[in-house]
Amino acid sequence: MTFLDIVTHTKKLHTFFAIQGTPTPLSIHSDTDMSIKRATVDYEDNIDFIDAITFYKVDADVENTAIYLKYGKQYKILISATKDCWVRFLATKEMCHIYLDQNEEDMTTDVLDLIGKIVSGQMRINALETDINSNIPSEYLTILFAFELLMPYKFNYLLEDVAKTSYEIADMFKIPEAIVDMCRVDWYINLRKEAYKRLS
Amino acid sequence: MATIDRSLIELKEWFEKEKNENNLNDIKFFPFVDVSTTRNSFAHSIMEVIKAHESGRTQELRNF
Repeated sequence: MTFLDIVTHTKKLHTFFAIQGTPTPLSIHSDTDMSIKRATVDYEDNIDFIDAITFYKVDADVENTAIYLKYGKQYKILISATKDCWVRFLATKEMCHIYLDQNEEDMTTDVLDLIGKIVSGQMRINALETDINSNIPSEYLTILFAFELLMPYKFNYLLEDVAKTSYEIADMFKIPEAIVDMCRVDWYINLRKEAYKRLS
Repeated sequence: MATIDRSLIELKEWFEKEKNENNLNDIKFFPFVDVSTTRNSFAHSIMEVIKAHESGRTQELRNF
């Protein structure tokens, strides 16, 4: 799957909930409500591969860690994080797996292989400098998907605004500063421009 | 080191058991690791979260 697919999914997600007339599972952005709504949620009846999504905040001595678990149509998302912005971002990011990883080939069969790829750098975000049509590993697609949902493209100009600090942008969208920093690079800003222009 | 090595084995065993006994279809992680992270320490962190959840140190999030 590519970044162009992610932008297409982002648009579909907006359209889907608009058509269904249901509240979005994520408060994608509005000037008045930046929170994620309860997400187990209003859309379960509308998507056939979901019976339930349950989020847990886990009291582990580990920061900013999340685990996505799929049991048939039941999904569990475990989050260990103290800051609300990380809980919010990780919940969104892991939820994106539900949308993106419904094919057998997308599912993890060898957990140690997955760990190895992540740690060895094969799946490290700074290795992602890519174009809109290149395949990106699911683990990173979901980070970018979450960013697209929580920091919509219409605010892309903020990433280029040298007068704004990453902290100010993070605070505005209630997302982690580290994630803003990660996305505040020319290749990603330009990737967004190209993808949204292609689909406009 | 031995303790951390055990986490990799523990994670693999937990994953296989969960697949066989509870029909786990898929697992994914948040992969934001720094350069000092090793396979062992990453597996250890994952197992810490799983163990905390299974031991009840967990609460369902209803509002974000």
